[in-house]
Amino acid sequence: MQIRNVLALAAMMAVPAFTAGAQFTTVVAPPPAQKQAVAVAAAAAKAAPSDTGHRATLREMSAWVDSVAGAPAPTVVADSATGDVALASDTTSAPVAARGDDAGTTKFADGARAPNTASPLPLILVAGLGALLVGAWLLVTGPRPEPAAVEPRRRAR
Amino acid sequence: MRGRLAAGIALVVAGSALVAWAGNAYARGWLAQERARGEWAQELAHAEVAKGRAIALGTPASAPAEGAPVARLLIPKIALDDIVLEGVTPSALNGGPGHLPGSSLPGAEGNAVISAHRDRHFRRLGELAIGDTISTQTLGDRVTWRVVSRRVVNREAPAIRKESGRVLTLTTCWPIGYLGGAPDRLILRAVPVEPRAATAAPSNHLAIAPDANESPR
Repeated sequence: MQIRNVLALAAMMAVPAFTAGAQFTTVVAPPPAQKQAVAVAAAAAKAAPSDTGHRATLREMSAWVDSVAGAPAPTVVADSATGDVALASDTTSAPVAARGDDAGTTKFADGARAPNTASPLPLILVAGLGALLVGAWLLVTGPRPEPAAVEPRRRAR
Repeated sequence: MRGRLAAGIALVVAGSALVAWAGNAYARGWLAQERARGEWAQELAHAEVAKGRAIALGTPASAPAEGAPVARLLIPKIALDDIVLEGVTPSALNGGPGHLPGSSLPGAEGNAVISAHRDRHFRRLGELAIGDTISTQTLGDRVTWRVVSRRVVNREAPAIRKESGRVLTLTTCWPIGYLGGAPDRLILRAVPVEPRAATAAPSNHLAIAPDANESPR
């Protein structure tokens, strides 16, 4: 077969292929599956700005209603442990335990826990000394390198 | 052989780091207490002037800043003589006994709460018994107290209470000789020995220096 015929045959095979490819580009994509729509909705809900407002909890409703009716406005007491905001009519009328985190009480309140005075320093010091001693013992009592390379040389001679 | 060597080196390095870290914290606490002693001596020297100025200007005394020296605490039985710093945060307690913010100052009406670490300033607090005396000195008052109650409570217990009269409460973690967390608290409650009128005079049996320039030890 001559080269000219080969080229002609290749051109005949290539032209329909290009045409077919152009047709395929016009194919309308099928609608996305339902799962994809759900995922997109979930992502959008996640990306939406969250509500940073605090949840308000009303305690002692009768006292609060009375205060709204004419008594002084209730005091807003922020509870740092839960992030909630509570409305209390009188914070001094009843003993309120000063709830803090694990660090303990840091401010005086009637009914508060005693401050946390347990220091981790002694434990850290003892652990450090223990590790230091064990490490030194491992280094000191480890197998020492043998005085090698002397005997074989003598044998070689 | 090689693993043993590596483990030994790692343990020595880690142990040295831990010891150095703890030692550094202890050293910083000691330095903070020494600095507080110096500041306290200066505060005493200027206390009368400041008091007179506050009265003349009608300005109320402001709350002390955290870490500022607020009182001197003396417990002869356990040879304790330390400057009380404002606050009970770890950094404040590292420097000395801490005054619980919001509570009264020792000698004022109400409950004055002072806390300290069980491994340092209050390591011998457990030796105090009912009837033992405590002395406090603030910029405006000197009071001798007598221990009237001694109790060990759970750490979650509401141990701090409002008081109508003058009360001194000392707290530390319990048990004292243990390492790690503390499940309980030791609470000592003391009341003034003499009435307020008599506290202005220097006490005879407690070594509180009448001289404002004396550095507490």
